[in-house]
This record gives sequence, structure tokens and C-alpha cells, in this order.
Amino acid sequence: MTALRFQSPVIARGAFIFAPGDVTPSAGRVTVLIGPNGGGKTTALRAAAGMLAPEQGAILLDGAPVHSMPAAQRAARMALVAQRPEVGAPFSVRDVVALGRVRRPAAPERIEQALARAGLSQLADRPFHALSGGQQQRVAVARALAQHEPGGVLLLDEAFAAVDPPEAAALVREIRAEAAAGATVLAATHDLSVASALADDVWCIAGGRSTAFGAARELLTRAALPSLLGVAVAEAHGTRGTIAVADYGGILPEAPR
Amino acid sequence: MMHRRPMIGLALVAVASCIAVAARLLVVRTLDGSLLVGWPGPTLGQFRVDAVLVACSAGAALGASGAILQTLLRNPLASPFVLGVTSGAGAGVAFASLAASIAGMAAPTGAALGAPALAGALLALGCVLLLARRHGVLDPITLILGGVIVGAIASAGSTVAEALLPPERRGLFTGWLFGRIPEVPDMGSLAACAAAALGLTGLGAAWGNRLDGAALSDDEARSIGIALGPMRTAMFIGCGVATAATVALCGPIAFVGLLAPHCARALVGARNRMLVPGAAVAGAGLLTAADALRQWIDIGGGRLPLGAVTAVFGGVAFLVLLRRTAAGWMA
Amino acid sequence: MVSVSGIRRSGVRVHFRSIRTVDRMQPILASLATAAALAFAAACGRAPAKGARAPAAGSAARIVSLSPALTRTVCMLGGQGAVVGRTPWCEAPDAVVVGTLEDRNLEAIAALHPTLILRQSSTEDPALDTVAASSGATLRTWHFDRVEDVRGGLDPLAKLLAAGGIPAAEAAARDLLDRHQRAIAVPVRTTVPVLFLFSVDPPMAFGSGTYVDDLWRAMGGANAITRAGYPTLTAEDVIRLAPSAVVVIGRGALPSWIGSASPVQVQVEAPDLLEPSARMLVDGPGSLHRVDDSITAARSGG
Repeated sequence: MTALRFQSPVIARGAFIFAPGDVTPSAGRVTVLIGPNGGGKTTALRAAAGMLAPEQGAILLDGAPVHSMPAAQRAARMALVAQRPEVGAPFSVRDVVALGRVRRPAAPERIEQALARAGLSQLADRPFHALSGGQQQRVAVARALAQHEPGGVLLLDEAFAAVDPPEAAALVREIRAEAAAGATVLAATHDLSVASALADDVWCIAGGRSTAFGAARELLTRAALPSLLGVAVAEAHGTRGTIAVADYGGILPEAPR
Repeated sequence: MMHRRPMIGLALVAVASCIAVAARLLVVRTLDGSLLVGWPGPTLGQFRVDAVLVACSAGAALGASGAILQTLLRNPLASPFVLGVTSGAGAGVAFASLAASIAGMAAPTGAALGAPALAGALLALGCVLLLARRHGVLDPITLILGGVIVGAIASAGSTVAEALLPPERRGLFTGWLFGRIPEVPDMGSLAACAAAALGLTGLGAAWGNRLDGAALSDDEARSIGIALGPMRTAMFIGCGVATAATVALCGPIAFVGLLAPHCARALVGARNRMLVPGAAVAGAGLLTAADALRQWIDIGGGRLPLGAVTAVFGGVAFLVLLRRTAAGWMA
Repeated sequence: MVSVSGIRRSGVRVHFRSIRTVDRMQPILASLATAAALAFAAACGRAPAKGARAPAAGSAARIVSLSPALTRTVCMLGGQGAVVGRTPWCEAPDAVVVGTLEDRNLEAIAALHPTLILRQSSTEDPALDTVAASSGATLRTWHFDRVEDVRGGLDPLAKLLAAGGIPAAEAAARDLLDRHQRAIAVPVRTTVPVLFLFSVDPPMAFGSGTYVDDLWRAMGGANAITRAGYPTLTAEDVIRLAPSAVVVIGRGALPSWIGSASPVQVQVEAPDLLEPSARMLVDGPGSLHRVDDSITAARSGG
């Protein structure tokens, strides 16, 4: 199992300083990243993927700094789904999913399996650009699944933003299956109900600092979330336990009439 | 548009290009207006063979460059000229003509223009590559901007040099701007262009999967294991050098580098391992066909310059192709 | 995104002006008659000032020429002292460079207080018209393409110069025409079709209706190219044409395939054949006679 560790890295992007401290997402568990926009969630994921070099400290993948690792070696153990999937060529869905294996060719069944897991078997031969935003996001996740080896690291940045609930549920199931097989999953999301379905652990980042890291059942609650996110939260009871839901009406005081 | 058998597509492209080559070799319109079909014997035939060699080398270089650039820049309208290389070559030619004029020497023509064209092209390429570095890596958007800026500056230089040329020498430079397939090419330029075309096509095919990956966003491309920086640098330099060799041999030729990848993609698919060779073969065929058309069309004042043929037919063909392609390539 | 491609011209620009068939002479002749009458009435008998730069009163001619061919013609008509403004390529060293036809410095032209402005163009130039009007200058546009253009233009031009204070111009014009007539009266010995090229890479020829064709045929020769204008040929065209002789006018190395086109290749450096001016009228036939001699020698020797 691959170990991912944030060893007090400090990354400066202009005026914004990302310094989350010492954080180790657990292997075999899904850690959901929550926090306000611009707070550092994407920075955390990009840094974990080796895209950013920390000025101090390090981000370690199995003990070695991620940033200086050769791209091919890193790709064997870590897969990233970026925030807005961009494909600048008229590829089919299958072609895009197959891109996950460009450096380490695998049997075609692997690609078909990834397509099936993301619910894309029917769409496999269609052009990527003919798909809706949510479908395109699922393609990106399928690509990561095709690339991902059991026990590696999966990084997902807002992978559910445009996906409708049935499709999102399928993705949640697949991601949790990966975690169960030993992967370290780090997923950023704004959607609290998805977070509730997905998370084992929660990592809250705001202003570039970690404001919380702990078990989901303690943090994704009506008690803890408002102070972390500045939202009013209601709780519902679902099949897996408590579901936290943002109470939009309660976030802001009543407008004067 | 899904291609289970790109090899068949590639074979089709090859067949079409062979037909174009045969047409150029066997069919010609004579001065008195009649069409002559058949092999004309060794002396005249040698001109046609040389012309076909030039057209295939230049067309292949342009086609391969166009395919690679459209992938790397994630833009279906990218073409080899976006690197500002052509304008640099034009400036080189203009200044060489001016220097010859000032020195009282005969105006350099044809083959003698190859060296200044190449020098100007490589200089422009160097400037563009220097301008386009962002965070230490070549950035596609900045590259396009740099290409346009360097191209504009080089064009301005050409205009100045051309304005200083005496009237009787200006026609040569203007004629060069239209591009032509020389019937008696400079063998050095031809060899360089052919080598560049083969090298770039081979590299593009070998790195086909990596090029495919470069269609993703920068972060995702890196995350699937592609060393984006070195690959972009190598490919942009390769495309620039191949285009410079083409311009040095034939002058600037529009549309082939833009159109050949689209023709190839329609038959061979978008995966670069097949697309780059397909675009090279398509480019060779297109340019040979353009040269053949140029031979056949006679509007009384002699033949049209090659640039006019590629612009008219290429422009129309591109419009048609654009209408048919699935909308919204670009993310 | 489509980039700058470097193709800025909308048509191929040939070295020399293409043939025009519009009759331009009649309005010019009418205006000339009026101008000449007025000028004579105002300045009878005054000698022309020579080389004067400062604006001299009276009838001293001050000529600005925006065409090298016209400058040369004016000089051959005796007006070289009167040329005060020229293009960088005109041969009149004492004159000030005022720019080119397309890019003329209007202030510089006006500052010279010209009496006559000459240009060759198929388009109007309203700004230059205004400068001419305000300086009181006569502006004339000429088109020297064919032999008859130059022949027919000598007299009117001479009259303009005479009216402007160079009375010897008319006699000079008659003299030039005489010399031209005597020169083309001698026939050439080469009567087989000859190809005249002014460029070899790509090959560009003098077709019918060009001044070289006019001169050659007036002297009894034949042009291998029957189509009009200055056609661009291919090497294959030239070889297939198999002219009895290929004449290349200009400098530069000849490509090897010219030998396959014709047994006789003549290269002549003849600036008088590269510009339709009075020099072409007078010296052109002589250059063509030298070409004829070379061809005859080669054909009999070979």
C-alpha cells in the first residue's frame, strides 16, 4: 500500500501561503477535503500530485518527495482527476479513458472494465466533446480508475460537481471499492451529501491551513461543520449513517423586507 | 468517426497521395493549351520527378508539423506558420535581396534564397521559444502569442527591406512570397527537408501515445506520466526546424499544414501514432496535387503561383471540413 | 486560431507594368495644348534657368519625376538640369530624392516649387493633385509600356518641357525618334522564333504586346511566345517549346536545363531593354542587334 504524507510543506503562490502542517491521509480510507473556495483544496491535491514544489518541508510518496519523482514512476502509483477535464483533441470516450494507460500499456479489458465501472459502456464510442459536463467528468474518473493500481493514491478534485445523483452514487461506490482494496483516496468536494456518502475521514483546509482532520462521523455533523465551513447544516439519516446537508436558507440572516 | 482499423485509413491516404503523384508525373498542360498524358522521357521527366520529391518532402514536413502542433496546442486551427517561422524566413529573404542590391550583385533567386530563408526562420523560432517559456516550461497559449508577435515584427522588417529594394527587384521577393515547387531544386535543401520530414514523422509516431496524453490539461497530462516540458520543447523545435526547411526550399506555402492533419484525422483517427504519419502522407499528396493543379490551370497569363492554388482550393476545402467536423474540439 | 502567413499581396506583381488598352492620350493632348498656349503666352523668349534650386521667377522648368523611366526620358530630351526631384532609383544625381511613386514626400515635393510633376501609374493620387495645384505645377501621368507608348509620348513630353523653358526639347525629341527609326530600319538576320526571358528561376518571358516583342518584330524577328504579356513558364514548357534561341536579358547564372531547351543561349546585360523609356527606343534596337549577332554566330558556328 502506498503511503502519502504531507510533511509540513510550505508552498507560496503569490500572496497565498499553503502550509497545512503535518498531515497523513490514511491508506485504505477515503479522506474528503472540504473548505471554502480559494482555501487550498486544489493546491493540496496538486501538491500531492507532484505539480508543485514546496519551498520548505516535503510531500512524500512512500518516503520519496513526489515533486522530484520521474513522471512515469509517479504515474504508476498515483492518479489525478483535475477540476475541469480538458481534452484538446477529438478523441472518443474510450480513447480518453485509454490515456490513463499511455505509459504502462495494459490489456484492453482493463479499459473496458474502467468504462463499465463509471457507467460509460454505452458511451464508449462517442466523441468526448459530444458528452455533457457531468458525463465528461465521469470519463475523467474512469481514466483515473484505468490508470490506478490497487493500493495506490487516487486524487479527485471536485469530481462530482456536475454529476447527477444516480451517476454520482455509482462513482461513490467505485471509489469506496478502491479504498477498500487499499488505496489512499483524497477527494475534494463542495457537496456535503456526497461527502457524507464518501468519507471515512475529513480534512478541512481554509486559508492554506488545516483547520480540522478527523473521522467523518465526528466532523460531518451539525455540531462541527458550521464553525469549519461557515454554513448552516442540517442532518438527515441515510443508509450509511448521518448525512450532512447544507441548509442554504439558514446560512445568511433573513433579508430585511 | 470511430476508427477500429486506422491501418485501413492510412492505406487510403497513401493511395490518394499516390494518385496525386501519378497525376503530377504523367499529366501536364502544354503552353499551347493541350493536356498531355504520358511519360515524357528522361530529360523532361527528371523535372517532374524532382518536383514530386520536393512536393512530397515539403508536404510531409508541413503535414507532420501541423498534426503535432494541433495536438500540442490543443487547437484545430493551429498550423506550422503559427510559430512565426514563415515570417522570419521572409525577413531573411528580403534582407538578403536588399544586401545583394546594395552590393550591386545580381538578385539571389531560387536556390540561393534557401540559406537566408533558413537563417531567418531559425532566428524567429529561437525568439518565439524564448518568449514562450512560462514557469520554465513552454506554454501553448504564450507560444501562439509569441509566434504572432515575432511574425509581425519579422513581417515589418520584410516590408522595410522590400521598400528599400529598387522596383525591378521587388517582383522576385513578391514571387517568393507565393511559394513554389522548384523544378530544379537545390539538392542540399531538398535533402534537409526530406530528412526533417522523415525525422519529425518518425518521432511523432514513436511518441504518439505521449502526444495523445498532451491533449489533456497540463496537470492531468503530467499525472498520467508524461514529461510535458521536455516533450513540448523537443516537438516545438522539431516542428520549427521542419517548417524552416520547407520554407527554405519552397517559400511559404499556406494551408497544407493546416489541412493535411484534418484530412488524415477523418480517415485515420485522432490517435497520434497513426495521425502523424497519416498527416505526413496526406500533406505530401495535397501539395503534389496542388502542384499538379497549378500545372493544369492556365488562365492566359501563364500559370498561377502555387500559393494561389493552395489558398483557393485549400481554403474552400477547409471550410467544408470545418462544417462537417464535430463542433467544439476545444474544451 | 489562424496565424500571419506572410502573404500580403493580392496578385503577382510583374517587374514591369502590364499592358493597358485604354486610350489615355486624348485628354492629355487637350490639356497640353491649353497649357502650352498659356505657357507660351506668359513666357515667350525667356531662357531656361539652369540648375537653379531657389524658386526662380518666370519660365524656368523645375521637374519632379516619380518614375525612373520618365526621368531618363526627360534627361535624354535635354532636361537633366531641370530635374529637381526624383526617386532613389532615378539617374539624376543633382536632384533631391523625394520618395517613391507609392510613398512620396509631399512636403518635400512642394518645397521644391515644381513646375512639372511626372509619374507613371494606373491609379489617381488626389493628394499629389492638390500639391500640384497649390504649387501651380502641371501634373502628368504617363504609361510607358509598349514602343508606341514611348514613341507617342516623346512629342507631348517635349512640348511640356519646351513650354517649361527647355526649347531644345522638341528638337531632341525629333532627333531621338530619328535615331530610333534608323536603328529599327536595319533588319535582324534571325527570323526563326526566339524566346526572350527576363528571369530564369522561374522562367518569365516577354510575350506578344511587350516592348521587346515590338522592337524585335519591327526588325523582322519572330517571338517564340505568342501569348500576350509576361507569362511565367516552367522549365518543361521552355524545353518543350524548343525555341531556336533563348535570350536571357539580365545578370545571374543560367541554370543547366537551358542547354536542353535550345542549342543557342545568349545572355545579354542590357539595362536599356529592362525599362520602357526613351533609352529603350534608342539603344534597345542596338542591344537586340548584338543579340542577333550572337545568335547568328552561334548558329553558324554550331
